[in-house]
Amino acid sequence: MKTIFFKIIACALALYLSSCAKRNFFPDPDDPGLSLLTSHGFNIATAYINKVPYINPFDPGTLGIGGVNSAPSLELIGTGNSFDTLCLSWQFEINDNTSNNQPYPTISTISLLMPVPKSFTKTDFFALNGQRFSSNTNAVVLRSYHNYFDTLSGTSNIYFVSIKYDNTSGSITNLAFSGLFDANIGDSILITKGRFDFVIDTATLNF
Amino acid sequence: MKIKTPFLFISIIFISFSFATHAQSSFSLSTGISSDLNNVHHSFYHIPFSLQWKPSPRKRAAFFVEFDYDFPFTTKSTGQAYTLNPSLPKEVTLQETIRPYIFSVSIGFRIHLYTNKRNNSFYLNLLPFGISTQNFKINYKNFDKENYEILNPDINMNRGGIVSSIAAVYNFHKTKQDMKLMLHVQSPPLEGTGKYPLSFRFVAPLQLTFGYNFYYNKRK
Repeated sequence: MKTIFFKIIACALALYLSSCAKRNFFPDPDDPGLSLLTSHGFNIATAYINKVPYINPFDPGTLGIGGVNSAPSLELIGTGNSFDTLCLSWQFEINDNTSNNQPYPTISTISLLMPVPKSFTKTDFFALNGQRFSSNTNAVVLRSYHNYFDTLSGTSNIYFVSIKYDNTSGSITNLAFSGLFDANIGDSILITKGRFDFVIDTATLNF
Repeated sequence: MKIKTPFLFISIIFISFSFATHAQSSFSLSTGISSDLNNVHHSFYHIPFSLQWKPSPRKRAAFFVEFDYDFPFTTKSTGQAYTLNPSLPKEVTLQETIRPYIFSVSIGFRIHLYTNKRNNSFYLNLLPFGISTQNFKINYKNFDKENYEILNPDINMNRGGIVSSIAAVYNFHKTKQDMKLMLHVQSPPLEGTGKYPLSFRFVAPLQLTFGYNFYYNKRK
């Protein structure tokens, strides 16, 4: 009897804790399903793909503790050309439940690709603050793993609205950046109203 | 704090009804000007309307109910908006207007401090428990929603919570003391403004009002 009682208590506690995890998502009243454009390092990215709202997924954590939005990756990809490629990628899924607590689904990724000099450094990345790049230089790649491996590519516009870094300890540890993007993939897939607000540990960067 | 509040409230009511002196029941209306003590980046000003109802004829420690509605002046600020559209300026500054509407209902009691030779009197009103809603209306003037996105925009917010307040009251005008001057300060609601960072906080109104006391139910 005592064991059953403790099991019930444990289940109730687990259910309670799992209901506590709330993601960073701040609904834009003008664009349903999208989050507001922010620059607070909320690790949130939303966009319409063919007018359907998409979002980076949310990991509710263990027993609802430590739930986080999935983080992006920012890396420099070497090429055989005179320019390397700066690649900003994150996972995305349809934003059909803004109350969240969905586990990671089998997911798709979106990558924004920009040509950068081979000598590209963190300092060069900070200099992107406030710069808008048009679609004749940037690319977008969508990778889907739902039923079969599929890759689609097109052109994109990117605007780094805000790039901030934490330099309080004397060395830059966190890099927060936010901005806008849209893309066109063969005129059949249109990504519109894209906005992101990410924070990245600079130790994970390869440039 | 939440557990202690009802006990405090009950104690205050008990104390307020334990005094008995000769006076009248009354209600009073007052209005004036209100500023905000809780915001640094914005200055919120209001025209407050205050209605007090003192059902008890007691003069000392009398229980009363107070209703306050603060009609806001528009506060101006700015916001930055950005666009990907290459045919448009990449950044524009928008004029933002913020209008916080405040409604509060509080209960409390008053403490008689002093009466001068002309029978004018000073009171201290203590209102330890009240409920206040603060409704912030945000607008960005000439905002092109189709092409621009505002960075860290303020959003409409309508929230409420428990408040406390205190007021110094001076009743005067001949022998009837039917006019009043009141300096009233109210705490911001205990409720947080939420996870989303706004450029403003809840208002803590400091009101200076002038009004009229209407007496009824005279007792001797």
